[in-house]
Amino acid sequence: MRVGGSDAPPPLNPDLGGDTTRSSDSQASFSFPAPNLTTAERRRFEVGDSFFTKNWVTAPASTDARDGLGPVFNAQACSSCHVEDGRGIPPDPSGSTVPLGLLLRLSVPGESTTGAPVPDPIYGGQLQDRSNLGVPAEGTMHVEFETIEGEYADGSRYTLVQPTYTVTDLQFGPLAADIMISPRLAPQVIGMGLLEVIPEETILDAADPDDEDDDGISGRPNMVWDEGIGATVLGRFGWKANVATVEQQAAGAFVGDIGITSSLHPAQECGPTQDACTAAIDGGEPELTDERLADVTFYGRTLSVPAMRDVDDAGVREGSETFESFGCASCHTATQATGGSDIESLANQTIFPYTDLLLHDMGPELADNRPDFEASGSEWRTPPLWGIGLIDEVNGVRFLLHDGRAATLEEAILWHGGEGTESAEAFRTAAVEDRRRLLAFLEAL
Amino acid sequence: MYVAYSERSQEDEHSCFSDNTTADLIGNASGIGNVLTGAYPSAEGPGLLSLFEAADADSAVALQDSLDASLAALEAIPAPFDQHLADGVSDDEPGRASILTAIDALEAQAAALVVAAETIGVTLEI
Repeated sequence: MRVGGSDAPPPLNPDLGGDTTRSSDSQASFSFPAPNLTTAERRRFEVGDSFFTKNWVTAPASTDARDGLGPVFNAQACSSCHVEDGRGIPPDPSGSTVPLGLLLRLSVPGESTTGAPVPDPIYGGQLQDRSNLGVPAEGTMHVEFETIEGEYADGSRYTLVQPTYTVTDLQFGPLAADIMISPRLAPQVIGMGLLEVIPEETILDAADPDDEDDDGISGRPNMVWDEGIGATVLGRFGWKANVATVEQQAAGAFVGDIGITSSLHPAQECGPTQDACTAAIDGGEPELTDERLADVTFYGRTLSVPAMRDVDDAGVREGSETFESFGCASCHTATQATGGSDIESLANQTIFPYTDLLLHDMGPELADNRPDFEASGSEWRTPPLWGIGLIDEVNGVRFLLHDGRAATLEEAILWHGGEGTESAEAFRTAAVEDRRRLLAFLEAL
Repeated sequence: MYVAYSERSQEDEHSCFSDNTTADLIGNASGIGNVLTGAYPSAEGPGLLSLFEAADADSAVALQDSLDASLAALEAIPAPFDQHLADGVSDDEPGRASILTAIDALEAQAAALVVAAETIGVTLEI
């Protein structure tokens, strides 16, 4: 064991988001604007923040800038799920939390002309479990938990909990017989603008779809439909890298989650037999103007990344080496560089997101068995790890992975299957001190 | 303030329903002034500015000046606030321009506070 001195690991750079980094370890850690914005950009950030944070209401209303909620929806504002710009909370077996920010994607086998999943013929691509007065919600999310017992090599025990989601109280008849349901938890919003301007070739160069280097890690890009330009491009956002840009992520969530139309999504997601939904009064055509969508997008792109803590701590530094030696960094790529950007503060930054933005097969236990563009039913995008140690500071709790099934960092690591099996096994069989150092490193991110 | 200004949106002004926005903004800024100076209508004592003064007189003076400037700028906004948000009111009209002047002043005050805090070893993220 190395305890410092000349053998100590090299120092870590705390500025995970380059010049956009903020030093903060408070509840507000995910909510700061990048510090290097101009005054005009900072003010635009505040406008975007306002439309991200404040609740939408049913149209018509005197609050005409923010009416148009629903007719069916999951949440009243972006911030309902991304509380404090943070992460959602899934239902948990103890019933000790109030779930928010977890939704169910729905599709049937096949793909549309754009390569997108084919939505359920009645309920569409997402279950909207809330609705305005006089409009039926589509149904209720139901979850069952299965407990899986496991053991570290040193004999200490752990428990994993596997959730299975179904839908009850369906208001318009059954779901398609071959329905595929994918639960998705709202992630923290930080650093998206930086990830958006990592040059495409950097990400594609790291791909190894046929595992030609034979390291057991494939890494495939998802190629997705860009609604803005009407072409297939590299996907970067969402749990399956199924969205190309921050703007489309925002516009998609506005219509799918809140029922707010925009020029990118001019139609509500009312199914063919959802008459009250179709007949409901709207809050404008579209409900979100292009300018406001641009402001919210700007906000999402310029939320700063909090600085790494405890970078001089020997355990944290050793933990970063453990992260490498366990193979975690094969997918959770530490260092990336951004290219040019229309937002000067995001351009040409050295950043440490700990992701390759590629898809990896994570094995049958984590699989949602629902393909999404080129992502298979068992592939997930490597999520960035920056800010992972601050989620509980911001949101009070920390549930990890796409459906929030992991209540701790340890559980999240142990769930890694498929291409992540070797790393998870390295963790499971490691000495408790090594496990602690790895966790200390992750907590500092 | 800026959201109400730029969106011309009454629902985003400080006190939409009571129409008391200008007075409330002045009240808020005065409250910050109370904490900084330690001077209240009915009591007086050391405030944060005394602490800053002991560390670095120049940045304390700059902060006091910025506080005075923002109070003056807020008091210069003609009430009611929402008349300056109406469609058709040009950005050059004195009432509407006075809002932006006050926003500029408050932002300058925030920047001065960060500088002053640094002199006592406190890093503020704003």
